[in-house]
Amino acid sequence: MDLLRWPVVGPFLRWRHARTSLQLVLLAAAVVIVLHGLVGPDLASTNLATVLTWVHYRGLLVVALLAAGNLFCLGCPLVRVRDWGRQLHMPRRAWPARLRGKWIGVALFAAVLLTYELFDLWALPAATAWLVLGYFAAAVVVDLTFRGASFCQYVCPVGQFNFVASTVSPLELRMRDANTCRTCRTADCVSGRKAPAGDTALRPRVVQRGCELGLFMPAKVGNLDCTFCLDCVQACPHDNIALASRVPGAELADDRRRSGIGRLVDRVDLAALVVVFSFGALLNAFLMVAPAQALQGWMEHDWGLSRASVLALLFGAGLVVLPFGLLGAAAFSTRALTGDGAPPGLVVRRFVMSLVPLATGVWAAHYGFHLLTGLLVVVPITQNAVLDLTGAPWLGWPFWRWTGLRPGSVFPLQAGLVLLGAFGSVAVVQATAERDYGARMWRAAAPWLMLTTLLAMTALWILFQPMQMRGMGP
Amino acid sequence: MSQAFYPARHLACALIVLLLTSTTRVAAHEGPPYPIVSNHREGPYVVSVWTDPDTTDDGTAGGQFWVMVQQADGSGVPAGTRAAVTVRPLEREGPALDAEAEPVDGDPGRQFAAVVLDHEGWFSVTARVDGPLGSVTVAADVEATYDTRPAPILLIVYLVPFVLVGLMWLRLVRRRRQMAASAGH
Repeated sequence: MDLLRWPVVGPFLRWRHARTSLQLVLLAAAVVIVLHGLVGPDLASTNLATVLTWVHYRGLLVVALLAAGNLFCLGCPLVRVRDWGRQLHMPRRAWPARLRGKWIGVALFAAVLLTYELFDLWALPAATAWLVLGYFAAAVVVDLTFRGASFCQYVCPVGQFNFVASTVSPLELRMRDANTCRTCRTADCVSGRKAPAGDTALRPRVVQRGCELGLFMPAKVGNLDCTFCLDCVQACPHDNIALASRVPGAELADDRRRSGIGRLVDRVDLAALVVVFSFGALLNAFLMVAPAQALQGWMEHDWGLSRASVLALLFGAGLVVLPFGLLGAAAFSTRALTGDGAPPGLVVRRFVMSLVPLATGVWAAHYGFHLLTGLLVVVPITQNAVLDLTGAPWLGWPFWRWTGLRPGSVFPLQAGLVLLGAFGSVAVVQATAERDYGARMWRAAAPWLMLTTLLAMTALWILFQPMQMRGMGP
Repeated sequence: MSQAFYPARHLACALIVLLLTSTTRVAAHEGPPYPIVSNHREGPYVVSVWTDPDTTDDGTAGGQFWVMVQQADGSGVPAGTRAAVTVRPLEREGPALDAEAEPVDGDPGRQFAAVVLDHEGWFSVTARVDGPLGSVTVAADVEATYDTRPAPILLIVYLVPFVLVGLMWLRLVRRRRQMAASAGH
């Protein structure tokens, strides 16, 4: 199935201004978020900055990843602003070689999770607006300094989240016919399409850029590092790129060398990103529920720690100590059960990708909960904003009772998403073990299946706890 | 031909059964609150009342109310300003329920109270604000409803589609891996 050949959808996606139009929609949303955050009401549940950012944006982002692919990177307004900036100043520098990798993105991803908790960002409209402004500023500064999509590839924490989660998306950009790529001599998909000969002198002008993240289509495997920007589709002179359906998550057990990435088992930084993505999903959800609030209160009062210290300890335990212990134990168990002499780190890197489907299920259950229970609040808040702005109810008096689904009715969906994610993780463990251990596959897989079970049960236990409706209530 | 044994599939099924039978405690999430009184100017105050009116059978105070108070000029109310909420059933006989509100994070402009709403239906809600600036009362009606999760047996029914899709996913990933292996990847 190739969406680029579908009626309506296909022509729209191939339209050269498709991305710009999506970016402008999200840019308009960002402008509304910033303006209302700075000048609107302080109450988080009546401000579009907090509600659109922490309820709708996060929820819709996960829905899009699970339903299609990395659509929010496709429509990212930061890139639109960056492109406008590059019309004034074109960067010449390449991103420093020693900074290539995901370490900065991993650190920022963890920092965003910690900052969100530490400063109660869900309750602070103005701070949310400044965060959005800061994000735009960072993207512009990085990408006006360095060539390509340096910010997306190495810095953006949301982008890193999207890259990992998109490995379980049902769509990917890939070549249609390998022979066509084999005979291609221009590699426009990665280098960009040049102006016809004679148009310029020595160095032909690029009229359509290729992949800014350096993904060469014939060697591209899966969605990692793909922003779904469709630049390759626009650049390919042979119309040989499809937006095709696939088996979600299968790429996580694919050990081929990938363009721009290499082999997954060789990338310690990618393994770290997956660890933060996976254990961060549980930690982020755990910090929402009553037992976590009680634990924090106990640590503050009985240990005499500040809230910042308590959160630092919890994040250290949740994102470093616990993963190190659990993954290490699973790796040593696999070695002992199979007689494999591979270093434990290598065993971890082989299997760590299997955590992604379960973690994506947890993120979807968590953010989907907020989205579904608060889906309609955007209506009365918008009505109220217009009322505040104009003094007249041009959109009607706020329908404050429009909120969303009852939380109890969302629970089966949450449990189902976690369960589905656990199935996906089991599938990846099985495929990985079969790939690397052959006849010993079940011995190799057993510790990782136990780990998947443990994490799935932890996720369900968290979902069963009373949840604080932060950002929604007054 | 002997039937293939797939330990992963059996483990997944065991996991489902284990999870469903181990989850005996069902506690409702708190629902998204909404205002029943919005920026109502009364005396020296501007009062809003937000509520999350959950009916409960186990004595949990599921009827939650946030009383938001500020001065008419938009500034904060002085310390010592207290709020209280009284809830009375409208559709049947029953006692009025009083609850003193407590400041949230020490902020007298944002106070929280909870009462037990033991049946579904409409209740009248009266919020009183007393403080150095004076005393005022605002009133509204609210409809309380249960917010319970499905019973375990119903939950199993709801989860069946996820299990079916999950089993299909297991099969597809494995088949994909085997195809890749046979293709020499």
